[in-house]
Amino acid sequence: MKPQRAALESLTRRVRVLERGSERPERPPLATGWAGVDGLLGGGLARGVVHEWLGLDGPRVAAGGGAVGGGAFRAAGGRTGAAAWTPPLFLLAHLARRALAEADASAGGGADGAARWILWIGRRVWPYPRTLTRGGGLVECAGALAGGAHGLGGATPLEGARCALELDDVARSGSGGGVDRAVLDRSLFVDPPDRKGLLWAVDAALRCPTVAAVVADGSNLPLPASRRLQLAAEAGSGLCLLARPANELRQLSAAATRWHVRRGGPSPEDGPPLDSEAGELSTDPADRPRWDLELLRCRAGLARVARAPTADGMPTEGGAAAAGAAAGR
Amino acid sequence: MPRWLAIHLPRWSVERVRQRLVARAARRAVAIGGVDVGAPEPAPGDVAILLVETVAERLLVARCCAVASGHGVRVGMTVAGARALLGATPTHVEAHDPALERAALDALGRALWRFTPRVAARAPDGLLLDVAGCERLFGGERPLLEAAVGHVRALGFDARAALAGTASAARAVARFGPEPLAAVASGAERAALEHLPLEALDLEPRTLGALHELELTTLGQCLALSRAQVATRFGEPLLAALDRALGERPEAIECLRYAPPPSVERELEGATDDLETLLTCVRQLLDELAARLAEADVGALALLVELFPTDAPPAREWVALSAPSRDPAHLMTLIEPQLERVRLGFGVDRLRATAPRTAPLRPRQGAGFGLGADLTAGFDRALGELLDAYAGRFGPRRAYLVEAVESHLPERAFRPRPVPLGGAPPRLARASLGAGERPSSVLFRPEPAEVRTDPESGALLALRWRAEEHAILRALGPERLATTWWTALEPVELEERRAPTRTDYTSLDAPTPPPRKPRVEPSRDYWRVQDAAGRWLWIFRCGARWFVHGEWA
Repeated sequence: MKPQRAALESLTRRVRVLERGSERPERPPLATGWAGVDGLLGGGLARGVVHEWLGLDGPRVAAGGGAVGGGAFRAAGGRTGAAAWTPPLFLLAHLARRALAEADASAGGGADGAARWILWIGRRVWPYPRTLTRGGGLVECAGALAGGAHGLGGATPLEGARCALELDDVARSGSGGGVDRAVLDRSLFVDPPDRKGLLWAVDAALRCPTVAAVVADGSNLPLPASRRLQLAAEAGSGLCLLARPANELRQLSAAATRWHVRRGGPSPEDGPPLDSEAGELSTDPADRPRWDLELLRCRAGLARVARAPTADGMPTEGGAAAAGAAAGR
Repeated sequence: MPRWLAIHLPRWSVERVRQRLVARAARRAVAIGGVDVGAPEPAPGDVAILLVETVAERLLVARCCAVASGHGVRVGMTVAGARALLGATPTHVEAHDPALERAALDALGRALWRFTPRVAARAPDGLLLDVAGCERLFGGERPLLEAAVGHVRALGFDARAALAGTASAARAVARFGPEPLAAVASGAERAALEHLPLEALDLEPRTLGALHELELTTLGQCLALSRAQVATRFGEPLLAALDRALGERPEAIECLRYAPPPSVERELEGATDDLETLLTCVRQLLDELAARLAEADVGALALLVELFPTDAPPAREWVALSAPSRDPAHLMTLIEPQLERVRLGFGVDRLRATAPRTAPLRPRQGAGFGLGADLTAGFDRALGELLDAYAGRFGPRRAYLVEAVESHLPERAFRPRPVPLGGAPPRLARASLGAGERPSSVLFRPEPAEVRTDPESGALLALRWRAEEHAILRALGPERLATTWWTALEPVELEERRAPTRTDYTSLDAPTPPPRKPRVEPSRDYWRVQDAAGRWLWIFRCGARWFVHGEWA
C-alpha cells in the first residue's frame, strides 16, 4: 500500500504542476518554528493558499459594556470600521518574519535578486513597529502538542489539535540583543478606505511576485470573496495570512487552514512575580504572554498524514479519514 | 538685422543658495509657529554664504556673497582664512556644484521663452536672447529690455542687461557697461566697446596676460591696433573675438531646445458617451504612445489623458508613476479608475494621451518570465507597479513606510511616511530603538482607567477599563519614562480629545491640529499587568491618574 500511495501523491503533484504551468516552481512549505505544528502540517504552512487566524476576541461595541466572543455578535450599526477586535499580532509578526527570512534565503540563489516585502493591509492588523524589530518570536511552551478528538488508533488527528505558544525570551535567547530591523525596513502598511478596496488590494498584492507575505484584515469576508482570494494566492507565491475576529468561527470560508487563537490563561502553578524590571522579560516563564492555538480545519491534500504503525504492522489511515471528513465540510 | 539681448546675473550662484535658505527658514517658522526655541535663528539676509571647491586637496572659496566680501573674503582664498576674516558672522558653507548651476541656468533660460523662442545660456552666469523682431510685441526695445530684466528680478535674482547688434558686444556691455540697462544701436558697437576693459570679451588668460604686459587696458586701445599687428602678436583668436564683437564675423550660438512631450491624439467621427468605447480608444492611444516612447528609448513618469466632450470643459486625468514605464497594460490599470469617474456630458469626440514627464528606460530582456527585475532605489518593478496601482485606486496617501524617530514617548516613537507618488522611496529616519519590552498594540491616545491598589503594600489589585473590571494577577514594574526637559514641543494631551498633527497608525479618528501651548508632563511609570483571563496590558500612572496604553495581543 505504501509505495502505491507515494506514487499517487507524486503523480498528483506532477499533474498540478502541469496544470498551472511550469513558470512557478513548487515552493516548499514555510516552517513555523513550532515543532508540533510543523509535524502536523508536514513541514509547515503551505504556500499559495490562504491561512485564516481567528482571534483573539470577537468585536466589541466601541461604547463599552458589550459581551465579547462567541455567537453571532455584531457591532452596533454593522459598520466594518466601528467594531474593535484585536488580532494575534505577535503571531502574525512571527510568521511574517519567518516568511521574509526564508524568501531572502531562497531568493539569493534565484533568478531575480529583488528584495522581498511584507504587506500589512488594513489598519487593524498594523502592529506596533517595535514588535517587528523584536529579534525573537514565539516559541512553543513546555507542554507538547495535545491531540483533539481521539479514536483513530495512534495517529494524531489534525482537526482540533492544540498548541501552546509563548513569547520568546529575547534578552537571554542569544540572538544578539534582539533588535533586528530587517522586517520593519521591508514592511509596507496599506490602508484601503473600504472593504471592496481592501479585497482588491489583497488580491493585487498576492499576485505580485516580490511580496513575501501578505497580512490582511479579513473580517466580514463572504464566501465568494474568500474563494477569489484563494485563487489569487494560488497565482502568487507569497504567504497569505488573514486575521478575522473570533466570532466568525461559524462562517463558511474557502481558506485552506483555519486556526483559532486564544489567550493562554494563567496556569494555577504560576508563582508570585519575582522582583524584576518591567523593561525586560524575567526568567520566570509565567511572566510571558501565552497563546493557545487550535487547528480548526485543514484542507485535504495539504497535510501529510502522521503515521504510526498499529500492532499488526500495517499503517493506519487515521489521519486520512480525518482529512477526508474535512473535505466534506 | 540681428538684435541680441544679453542678461548678466552677477551673483547667480550665491543668490540661488540664499533663496534656498530663505525658503527653509520660512518653512521652519511655519512649522514651529512662533514658539521660541532656544537662540533665535539669524535672518537669512545676514548669513554669509561661501561656496567652496576642492583644488589640489585644499578647500578654496569659489564664490562668496556680498556680506562675505564686505568682510574681506575674496575668491581663491582658503576656507580657513575666510572663516577667520568672518569671525562671528553666521556663515553657510556649501560645496560649489557647477553642473547643478548649469542646469538651473538652463531652467531660467526656459522661463525666458516668453520673450523669444531663441534663448541660449552662457555659463556660468549669462543668458543670451535673440530678440530680432520681438520688440514689436512689447512696444519697443526699451520696454522689452525692462520687461525681461523685470522678470528675472521678480524671480529674485539681480540682473544687468544690454541690447546690441551682436551677442558678444551685448554680453560685454551687460557685464561691464556703466548702466545696468543699456541699449546699443546696431553699428554703434565700436563706440560702446571703446571704454570697456579687456575682460569684457571672453579671451583666453594667456592673451589677456600678453595684452596687459603691453599696458593695453581698454578695448578701444585694442581696436585701434592694426589688424596685421594683432594677428602676428596675439594670433587669430583675439582677431576673431574682435570681429565677432563688431559684427564682421558670424557667431554660432546654440539655443535651448524645446522638446514637446510625446503625445498622441485621436478624433472620433461622432461624439460618444459610451464608457466602454472610450476606454477601448484610450487603450489604443496608450499602445501608440508606448510605441512613441519606445522610439525615444524613454519611459513615462507621468501620464495625462484628456477627454474633450462636445459641450463640457475638457476632462484631464493625471497619474504619476514611481518608475518609468511604457507598458500599455500597466498605464491602463493606473488611469482606468480615474476615467470611470469622468463626466462625459453629451459625448466625447476627441481624446489625447501625453507623457509630460519622461525618463530614460533601458529595454529589458525576458520580461515574460519575470526575469531581469531592475532595482530602482529599493522598489523593484513589480512592487512599484503594485504601489502605482494602489495610488491610482485609493489616492496618493494610503501606503506607508514606518520610520523610527527620536522620541522616548512610545506613541510617538514611530512615524508613518507615505510612499511618494512618482519617486524613490523616502529616506527614513533610523533612531535607536532602545531596550525594553513593548506590546504589539499601542494606543496613540492612552485611555483613562482606574486602578485599585492595596493601601499597605501598594500592589495593584484591580483595573477598571472600558467599563469592565479586570482583576490583576501579576504586575511587573515599574518602568519609568521620564519627561524630557525640551518637552515644550511635544505636548501630549491626555485629557482633552485633541489629536496630534501627525497621522498615527492606530487611531481611526481624523486628526486636527493641537494647541501650541507648551506644557511639562509628569513622568510616566509603566506596569505590565496580567488579568484573570490571561490578557497582558500595558498601563501607566501619570501623576495621580492611570491610563491603559497597550496590549500584548
